[in-house]
Amino acid sequence: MKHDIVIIGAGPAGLAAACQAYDSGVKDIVILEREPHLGGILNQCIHNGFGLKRFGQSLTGPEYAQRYIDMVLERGIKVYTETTVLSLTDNKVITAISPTEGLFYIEAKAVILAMGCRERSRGALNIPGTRPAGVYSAGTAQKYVNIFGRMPGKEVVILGSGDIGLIMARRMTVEGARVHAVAEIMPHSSGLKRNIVQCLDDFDIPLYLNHTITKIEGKDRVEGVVISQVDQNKKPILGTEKHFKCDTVLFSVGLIPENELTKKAGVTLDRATRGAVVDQTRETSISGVFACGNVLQVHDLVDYVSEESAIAGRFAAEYVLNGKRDKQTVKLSAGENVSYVLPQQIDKGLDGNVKLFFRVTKTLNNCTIRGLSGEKEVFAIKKRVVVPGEMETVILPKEKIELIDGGLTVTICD
Amino acid sequence: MEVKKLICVECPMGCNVEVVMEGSDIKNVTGFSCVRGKNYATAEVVNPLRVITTTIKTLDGRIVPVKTDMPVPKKDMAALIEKIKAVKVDGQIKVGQILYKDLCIGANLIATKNC
Repeated sequence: MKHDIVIIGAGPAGLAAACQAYDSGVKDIVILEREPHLGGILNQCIHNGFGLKRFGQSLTGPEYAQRYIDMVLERGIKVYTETTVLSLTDNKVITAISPTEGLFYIEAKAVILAMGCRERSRGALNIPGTRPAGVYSAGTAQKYVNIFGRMPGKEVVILGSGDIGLIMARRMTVEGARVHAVAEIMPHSSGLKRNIVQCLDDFDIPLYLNHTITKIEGKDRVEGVVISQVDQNKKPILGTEKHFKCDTVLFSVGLIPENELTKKAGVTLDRATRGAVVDQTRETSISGVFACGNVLQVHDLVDYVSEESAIAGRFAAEYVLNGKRDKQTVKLSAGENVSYVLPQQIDKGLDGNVKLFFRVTKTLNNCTIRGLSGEKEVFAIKKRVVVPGEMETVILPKEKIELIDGGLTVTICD
Repeated sequence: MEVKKLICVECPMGCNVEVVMEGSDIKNVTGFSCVRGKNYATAEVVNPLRVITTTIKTLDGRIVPVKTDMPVPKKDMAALIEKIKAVKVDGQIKVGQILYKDLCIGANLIATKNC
């Protein structure tokens, strides 16, 4: 079969991209979704705090998802659920498989990658000890509790203070479990401040900064863990071990964009974001292939995912309607104290402002964000505080983009 | 005079808000970026409020995510969670449907998903 736009993934990114592509004039759109339901991970995020930017009110994950699901259905956009994409080629042929369609191929004029991300696992951390039952990623535990209504355990220790870990500390407590500790290897939490307050402080759950799990005990089932303080090089300090009896360990140690399809298609990836290299339209190194949401960069807020995905949807539609653009791209790069900048390229030939997203490598107070093109300062913005856990943005107006010569480096200094 | 330092939980910005107190009187609130932050800080020093989100089971075993449709006193959270868990629901459930009226201080329990 042939379609104008094929979107891979029906989470918040795919749904928002589909709506915007439709509203930009392309009606022949299909969404391919691996799960039986639309909405992606939002379905299991039953806590509130979503949508304050996008809708001006605090929604739960399922409520936020429902708004976009309704928008997609109102537009009559075709969705294939329980459909797994097996491959994507550089000439935009998609191979997919589903129980109703079997194995099938789609030739697309434009493709939007919206596969989201997955959690880093215990294996990625090399934690010593046995391999008992009771060790879960925080998101898996979240699915058990919120979708299936099953508790993974009663006595819990959480490694990592990412938002999902913090949310699950509260969630397990509300469901009657006891969360003994949250251990974070960094000197700061990678989660949002509000989650420290309302998920840990509200329930008197201790957060151990500069600590990590150094041992998991138990043969068939987790029986306990040892956590130790770490030094500046993140090496455990002998003699600081604390023992906790527990039956469950949750990992909330970061997310990895799910880019296997992207890689196989030959799209250039950014080592820092682990997502595709894109310009401000969210077009990747393969013409007509776009990427948005957490598969491109791990966002803090779904509101930003929707915003970014609308950009990809709009330009995918323009690609279908007007064909390939001639580009005059300049490269963006991360300088001092900046871990990445997205988009990685700006096409100077396009009109309009460009919003830059980036993350810092450490907490800085009273600092200045600078954009440098060679020796020339393109912009300088003062900030009271920046933290690694929260994404920073700068809006680059068209007249500033004109000043970029060759490339732009974003730095942030005291 | 006493200064209470709070982190606003109303949105992910997490503003550092300071409330200047004299006894139980609020003298000044600073550090917020919107009216939500000011209201949060004012409530937090007098009577902290939270929205409760959790799940309940229908009679035939489906899991329904629910929330209180306005913030409720934090001090009553444990008792309210127990009350919510005892709520019995059945049949088709629509997002926004009231599952329990006036759980406390006028807050209703509503479904957050079509189930």
